[in-house]
Amino acid sequence: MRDRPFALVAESGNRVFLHAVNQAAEEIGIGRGMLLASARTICPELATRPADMRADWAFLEAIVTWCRRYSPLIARAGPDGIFIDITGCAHLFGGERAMLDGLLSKLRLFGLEVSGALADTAGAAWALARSGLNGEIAPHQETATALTLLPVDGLRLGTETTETLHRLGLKTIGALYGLSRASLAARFGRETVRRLDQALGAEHEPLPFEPERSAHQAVMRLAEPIFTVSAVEACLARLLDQLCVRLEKHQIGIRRLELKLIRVDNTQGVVTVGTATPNRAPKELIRLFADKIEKVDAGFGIERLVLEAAVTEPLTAAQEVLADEGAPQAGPLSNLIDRLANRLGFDHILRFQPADSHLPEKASVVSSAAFGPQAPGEFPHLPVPRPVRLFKTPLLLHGFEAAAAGTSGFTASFPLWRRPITARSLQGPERISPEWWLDDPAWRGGARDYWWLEAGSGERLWVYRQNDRLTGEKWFLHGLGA
Amino acid sequence: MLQTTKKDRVETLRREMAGLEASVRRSGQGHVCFGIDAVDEAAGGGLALGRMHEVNGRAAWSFAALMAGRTKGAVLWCARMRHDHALYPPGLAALGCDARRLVMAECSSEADALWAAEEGLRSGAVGAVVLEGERALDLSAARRLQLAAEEGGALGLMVSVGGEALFPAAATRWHFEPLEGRRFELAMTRNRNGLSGVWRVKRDETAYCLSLAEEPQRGSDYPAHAGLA
Repeated sequence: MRDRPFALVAESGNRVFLHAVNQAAEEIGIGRGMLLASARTICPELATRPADMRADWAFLEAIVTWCRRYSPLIARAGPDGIFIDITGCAHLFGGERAMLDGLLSKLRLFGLEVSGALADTAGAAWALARSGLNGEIAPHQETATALTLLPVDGLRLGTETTETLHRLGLKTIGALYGLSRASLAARFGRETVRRLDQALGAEHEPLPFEPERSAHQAVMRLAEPIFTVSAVEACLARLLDQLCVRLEKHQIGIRRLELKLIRVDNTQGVVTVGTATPNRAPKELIRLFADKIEKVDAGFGIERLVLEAAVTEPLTAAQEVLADEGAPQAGPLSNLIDRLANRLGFDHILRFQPADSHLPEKASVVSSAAFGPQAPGEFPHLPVPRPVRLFKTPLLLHGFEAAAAGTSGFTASFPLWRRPITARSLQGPERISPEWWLDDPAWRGGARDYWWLEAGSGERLWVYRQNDRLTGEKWFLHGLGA
Repeated sequence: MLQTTKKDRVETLRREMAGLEASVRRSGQGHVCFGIDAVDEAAGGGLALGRMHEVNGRAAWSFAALMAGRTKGAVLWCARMRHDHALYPPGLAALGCDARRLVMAECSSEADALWAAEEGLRSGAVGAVVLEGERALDLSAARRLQLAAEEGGALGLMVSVGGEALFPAAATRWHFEPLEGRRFELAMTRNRNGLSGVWRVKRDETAYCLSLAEEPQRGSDYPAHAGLA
């Protein structure tokens, strides 16, 4: 096939064109855009196949994705070209020359025939790449010079305009430089001036950069805009089913889901839900959206829904069946945590873990229940009792010192239950020293003596005494006992 | 139709009601017992699972930790966010409630706390749900929680440190007050299908349980509710 003339053909109206030709065909004078009939007169044995535009498009899509390794800003340039905005990226690949050569040679390794160029503007790069000069780099600020001798075909004008220009002897881009813009616009249309300006950088050319498409996305376009929560939920259920089936194929579970509700006026409402453990059960996931969808303003109606798994984690099929103590599981408890966390906030669903410290307030670590499994380790069984509730900031007990010095009962008023408390007995002390290797502001006062205070009413309070060199002895309430 | 006496009719109705209640309960539901025969007997076996119970009094937190610690599985603790003090895991561990089983839901409103408790009870994923209350619940909120508890089969506990009852129609209501000398007064002030009573108990810190401190004082200050006795 390679050494015999071959062409892909496409129909337009009732005529059949050559959509693409191979090198062997080009060598005998058959080119793109030729009518099949004329090509057959040159080469009767020309082999043809119908062109598959969709496959071309999908193939270019794959190359666009591949090109993202060079820059995040990629746009399509017609059906067979790609623009890459490499502003600020070239140094990562060893400079512009190395980058362009590397890119082209890698694409050639795939078996592609490519031609590339680099210039200040997208238009200039397009002209250079299509001029037949391969791997050209137009020096910075010298775009006009670089384009002077290139054919006007490089200006991305319509075939008709290009042919007119050729007929009038304006064969190179440089030939247009000397003409007045007014006459250029009058004779060849404003498009010609615009394209020339864009190539030379006089006019900004916005490129249709392709947003990075997540592989884990499901989209639904609706014929009629929808307004009701139940309609959105119905669509969401179908999207979730689609997405979860796809994720199962990739053995991936969802940690965060984003539902974009795009309204008819192209504004969008976003609903985000998270999960504590990777999950891909549509029934569980849809419950997380429950009261969040109601809060989205439907505006003039929602016409498109995009569901994307924004954060994912590996989740093998086996994990769903096998209960493994260590790995986070999407079980009933984690589903419950997800539901709670999505309404109350992930910071407000807490779990406790033992910590390696003898300081009372550091004996446990509070972490969001949404983050992973519980670490192993147990709370140590202390020989001395600990309070059931601990004050976040110890309460200073005013008027306690003098009383404590006396042996018998004393009163001290706490803001706790808004009544004075008579102490019946003090048990202790238990001395707790600060961690000398850490400078904790709360423990700068030095060691504390903890006592269990039994109030006349029976309550047990965990208090401590601190000897402050400057202010003397002070008593604090740190916990409520049982 | 045969003539039936009033007593017979009451008996029939009782049996029917018991049947209705039993049909709601899941199979295998049991009780969380206190480990004190007298109390368990009066409470009809302990705190029934799949029911909402209420405890108030100044040691109510300890009671909740002690009883929730005896259930299996995770414990969901729903409370309004407090800035002064918080649950202290080592202290809970000493009550037999391993804090690693605890899932704490900090809620910013009462409605959120009720919702979280209902979700937890209904999910069947936790062994106990503790709800810290501040205000008395209305009947419909209480009923919702009760139905959720029946569905999920978890132990529901509403806790308040104040003295007044907040949960209408609780299966049992307890009052747990600290007394001098590390003892507590455990009072059952409401029991839908049993006795009520007051006991003096003390805590056994190694076995995570309560034991009687002295002879029970049955039906002292609290009006005894009409029970089966």
